[in-house]
Amino acid sequence: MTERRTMDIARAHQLLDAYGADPACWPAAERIALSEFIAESPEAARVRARAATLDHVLNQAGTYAPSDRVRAQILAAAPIRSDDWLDGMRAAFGSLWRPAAVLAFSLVVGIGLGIMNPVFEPEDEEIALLVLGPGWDETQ
Amino acid sequence: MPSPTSDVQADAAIIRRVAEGDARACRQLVDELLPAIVGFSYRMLGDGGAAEDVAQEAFLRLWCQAPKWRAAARVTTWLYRVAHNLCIDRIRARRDVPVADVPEVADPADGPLIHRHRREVSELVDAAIAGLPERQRVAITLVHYQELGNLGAAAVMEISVEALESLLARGRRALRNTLSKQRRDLLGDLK
Repeated sequence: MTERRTMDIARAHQLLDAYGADPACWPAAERIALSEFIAESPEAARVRARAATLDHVLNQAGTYAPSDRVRAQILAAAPIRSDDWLDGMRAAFGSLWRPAAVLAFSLVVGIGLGIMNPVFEPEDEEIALLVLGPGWDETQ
Repeated sequence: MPSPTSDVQADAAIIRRVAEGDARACRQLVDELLPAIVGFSYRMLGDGGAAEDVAQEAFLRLWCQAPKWRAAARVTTWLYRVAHNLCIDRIRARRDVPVADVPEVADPADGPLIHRHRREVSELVDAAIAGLPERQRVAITLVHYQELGNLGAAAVMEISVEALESLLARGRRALRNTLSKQRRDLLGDLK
C-alpha cells in the first residue's frame, strides 16, 4: 500500500492530474479521502471535471480484441499432459465443436429422412414448376 | 478484498497446475489475461498483428516458466512486464510505428457520418498516444486503459509510485495539449 497522505488541494491536483477523474483509477489508499475532499472543494471539483473531459476523449481510442487464431495457437503450445488431450483440444478448438456437432446432427437427420421417405421422381412439369416457379406456363 | 499476498499465492497455485499439464488451468489463464495483454500491446505498437505476436510470445514464455515459477509476483504483472519489454524491443527496432491501421468494425446502427467521425477521433487519440515518450505511454496505457492501479503499474514498470505519478501527469498534460490543438473542431476545447 502507498503511504496515506493528508489530502489538500495540492495533493488533489496531483492525483487528478495523474490518474484522471475515475475513482477506480485512484490509489486505493487515498480514494475515500479524495472523494470527500472533492465533495467539499469547488476547486477540486473543477479540476476533476477537467480531468473527466480528457478521460472521455482518451476513451475514444481504438481497441483491438485477440483473434480466435492466436488463442488457439497459444493453447496448442501449452504444456498440456497427454492424458488431458481431449480437454486440451476443447481448449484450443472449443469454438469449432458446436458447429461440428450441428453439422453431424444435420447429416444424420438427412440420411434418416432419405432412408425413410419413398423415392421421389418428379415429372417434367413438376421440375419446371420447381425451377421456374408458379406461372411458368403462362407465357407459353 | 483479497490481500496482495493471497493473490500471489492463488496465482502460484494455478501456475503449478499449468506446470502439471492441466488444460483447464491453461485455458483459464488465456481467457482471463489474453485480451488484456493484446490490448496493452496494441496500445503500445498500434498494430493488431504485432500485438498478437507479442502476446503469443509472452504466453509461450509463461508456459516455459511455469515449472520453475516462484511466488514472487502476480502472473498479470509478470505477463505485462514481458509484453512491455517485447513491445519496447519492437518500438526501438522500428522507430516509426504505424498507428491505427487496423480496420474498425462499424456498428450497423451508426450512420456513415457518425462512424467516420468516430474513426477520425479514434485515429487522433491513437496518434496522440503514439506520439508520447515511451514511458509516459506505458504508464497511461497501464493505468488508464488496463486499469492496473498504481501499485500494479509501478510493479510492471519497476519504478516507484511517485515516479509513475510523474509520468502519468506529464503524459496527460501532453495529451491534453496535443488533442486540444488538433481537435478543436471535432471535440470542442479541452480545458
